[in-house]
Amino acid sequence: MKKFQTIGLWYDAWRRLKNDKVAMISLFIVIVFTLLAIYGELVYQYHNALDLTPNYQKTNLEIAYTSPSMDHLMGTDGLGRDVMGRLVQGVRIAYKVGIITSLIAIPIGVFLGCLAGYYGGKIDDFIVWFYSTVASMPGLLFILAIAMIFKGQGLLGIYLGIGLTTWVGLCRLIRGEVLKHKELTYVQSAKVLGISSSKIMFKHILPNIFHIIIVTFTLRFPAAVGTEVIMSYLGIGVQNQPSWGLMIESARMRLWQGMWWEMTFVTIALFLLVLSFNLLGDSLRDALDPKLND
Amino acid sequence: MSIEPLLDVKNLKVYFNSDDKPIKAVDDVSFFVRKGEIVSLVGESGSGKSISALSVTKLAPQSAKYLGGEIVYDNVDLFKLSGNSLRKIRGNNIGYIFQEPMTSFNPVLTIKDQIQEAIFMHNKKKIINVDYLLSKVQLPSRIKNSYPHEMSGGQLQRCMIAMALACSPKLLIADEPTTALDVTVQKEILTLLNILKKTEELSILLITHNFGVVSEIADRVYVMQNGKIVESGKTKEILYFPKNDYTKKLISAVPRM
Amino acid sequence: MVPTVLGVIFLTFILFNIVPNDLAAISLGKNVTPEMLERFDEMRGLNLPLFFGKKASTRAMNDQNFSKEIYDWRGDDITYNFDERFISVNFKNNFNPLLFKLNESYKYEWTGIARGNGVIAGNEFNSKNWINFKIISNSNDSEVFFGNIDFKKIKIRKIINNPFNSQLFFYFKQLSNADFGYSESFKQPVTKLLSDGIWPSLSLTIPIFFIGLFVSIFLSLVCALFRNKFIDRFFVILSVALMSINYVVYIVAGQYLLGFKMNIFPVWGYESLSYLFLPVLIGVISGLGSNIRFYRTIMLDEMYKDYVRTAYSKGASKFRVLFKHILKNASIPIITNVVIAIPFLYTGSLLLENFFGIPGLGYLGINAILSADIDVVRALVLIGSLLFVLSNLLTDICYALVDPRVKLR
Repeated sequence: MKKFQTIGLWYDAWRRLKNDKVAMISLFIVIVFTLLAIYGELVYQYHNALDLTPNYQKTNLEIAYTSPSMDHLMGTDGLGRDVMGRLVQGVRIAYKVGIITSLIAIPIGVFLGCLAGYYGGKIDDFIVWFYSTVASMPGLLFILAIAMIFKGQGLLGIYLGIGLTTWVGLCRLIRGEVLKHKELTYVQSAKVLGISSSKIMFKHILPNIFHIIIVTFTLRFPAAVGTEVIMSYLGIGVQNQPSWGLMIESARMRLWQGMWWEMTFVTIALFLLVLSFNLLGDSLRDALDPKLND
Repeated sequence: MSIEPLLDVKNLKVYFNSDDKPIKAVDDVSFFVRKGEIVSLVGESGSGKSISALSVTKLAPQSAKYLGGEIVYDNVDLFKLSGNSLRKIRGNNIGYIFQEPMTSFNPVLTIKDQIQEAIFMHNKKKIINVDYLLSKVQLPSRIKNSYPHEMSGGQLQRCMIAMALACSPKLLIADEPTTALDVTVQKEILTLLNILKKTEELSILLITHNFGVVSEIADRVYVMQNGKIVESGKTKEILYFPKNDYTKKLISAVPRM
Repeated sequence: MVPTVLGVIFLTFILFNIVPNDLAAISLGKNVTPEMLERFDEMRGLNLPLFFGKKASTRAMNDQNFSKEIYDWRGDDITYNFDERFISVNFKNNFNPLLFKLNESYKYEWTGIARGNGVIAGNEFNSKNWINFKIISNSNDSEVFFGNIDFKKIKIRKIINNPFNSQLFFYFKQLSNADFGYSESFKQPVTKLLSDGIWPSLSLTIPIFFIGLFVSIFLSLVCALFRNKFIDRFFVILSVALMSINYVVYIVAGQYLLGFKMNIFPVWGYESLSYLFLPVLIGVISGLGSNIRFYRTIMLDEMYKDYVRTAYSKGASKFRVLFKHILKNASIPIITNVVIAIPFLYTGSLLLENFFGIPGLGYLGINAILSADIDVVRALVLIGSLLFVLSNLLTDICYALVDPRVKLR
């Protein structure tokens, strides 16, 4: 069965992307952050396995609140811990949140969207009703409520809160695309040939809407990171690990006393991560969209 | 019919930028329209006929680059004009009607509003009788309070003609005015244009891909292909004695009843 | 609309009644007596069956299954037989397995497997061999146990006369009385807390909304006017950048730079109008990014439409095209966006109120979350959703008013 969307689409997209300077810079920054996250994970696992205290957790009140120096490029925080090390761990946590929440939200959105678009009728009615209901929930508050119910179970509340509420947009998109594709000839001919519905959906239609999933992931990732920062800033969720939200919270008061480094570096890192993913996602969307604007 | 052309376009070049090479939409094209004449630019999609017509008052899409040429209208080279001066010509001296009457009107304003706007642009004090304009295109005056979506394609196209003629321009540029209409309505519109040519002393530059339309009302015709003019002449001559192969193909493509 | 409202009610029911194992424990914490937990449950109908049923458990005594070693009976008079897995109780002094006094208005059903001679829950019991017993008693008799009895299992259930008297029914009844429950942390009915908090929230979010709206529309028109020129590109990038700054950072930076360093605005409290300046400013700027992007897209979409070309062909200037044609058409999708944002007005910004000490609904919400005040959180979520549904309806109405093509059904 010939795929409607050939490798050509991806090749064209890559060509367009290559020419987009902003996209290339964003991609570079994203790669840098990804490498940092992987490095952070390795450091964490290493120390975890050997039951050692990693550098970024070592407290040393004597050198607390020192400004950036050769030893500590980003200075130390209130407990004398190295800010840069904690920053890198923050990248790792951000990535964990972004990836796991996407692993929850994306399958739900895609699955329900496919079902709704393909089968139509009562199944579609039910799914539309369901996601309309979820979409009516007041965003952040609902996420916090879910996290509250799962209080004390660590990051689970955050993952579920963000994951279970952010799939609606993707579901709508996928449903729309499946509806469109359902009427196209390649699907009709597959049906005539007697290929089963689920096979049509997952082997034929899905590859043709895969680009939507990629773009959605790239744009949802920074949103999830941002939400987690808010949550840990408020004191919900990650408490014993150096999430950026926590770091900002502890750095806040110190800022007023003249110690600027922890706050500055963390906010810059957060900004760069979110910005680069946003820009990359936008460029990807433009590159993959066959209908180009003027 | 005087010999002096009303509109004289010489060596017009309009290109579009794209990823690899610029697209030569209008590639060194020259044509003219005399007073009281109906001249047609005919060709298939992509031949450059629409862009040529739109470029007369630089109405082509924003990504078009006007690279060269002369567009002499009433002793003024429009090509050299810009912004404000060009706006004074549009609607006032040169009127336009377009292919899709349904989308060419603003859906949230009444017909009356939009026709009045045509005058308002150029002469704020002149009170126009919208009813009179509508009667010229054989429409009842009560439709002036309607919204575009409440009317048929044919009615709307007549409104567009009325709107284009509001300031009594000497030249009407019609970009595929009948393509989106039903066949019976097409004939009505073409007949109307012919009548208006006489009653309003109007010259018309008619863009179309259909030689049938050309043979109905055009005095002269230019055949375009890939941005260039491949043949031109009086309609009857071209129809019966086409010299260019492409012209022959276009003529033979018109379904015979 | 109605199905969505029902869906919302059901979804909140799932989240607050079905999902949590022990809502009372989440809300009241660790240092509480079972009696307090039970009282919490009573007040919210949490010790009723979920949907349907005639029996409900009570915290007065957990289910005891001695053959599986699931029990918490302890005492000198109690021996556990490990071989055959049963418990032997010598009720010398009126042993009361209940942790607190039962609610008098109910009857209770005791079931289990036992043998021996004595009194179980106020009823005489005499059996040499193991038998299944079922005893109905009231709250007083339930405390009466004596004799020598061996147990393999015992459990108590509250008898609900009306099988439809379930948690779901309780919830619906509450809602139909506009009763949103009782706040444990504030010791007030939730309805009162809501009415106290709404004005401060509105005093914050209405200015943010309107100022934000005008500024964004104005800037997006500027972008459309200078499409693809420098100023347009500048705003596009600025929008993305503004959107990428975390809300938390806006608040921290705003408080630090404008409140502390430059000392222009007060940072905390709700004394006078000047206390609103900084949060409103932050609220507007933080929303600018996404708003400008959205409105700009709408304007540009309109700009490419045919009727714009017709207007130009009549000799219209860019200004006229923008204001008379595009703005009017763009107002249709803009209104949709605007009306949908209304529900967020009432929640105030959860964060803004919290960090600027504005005693509105957002402040209430955050505190409720942090202290696990279930009723308040649930009420806020519910009201937020209902407002959203209502605003969708309002959007449809506005659409019909503004767009001559649309007729209300």
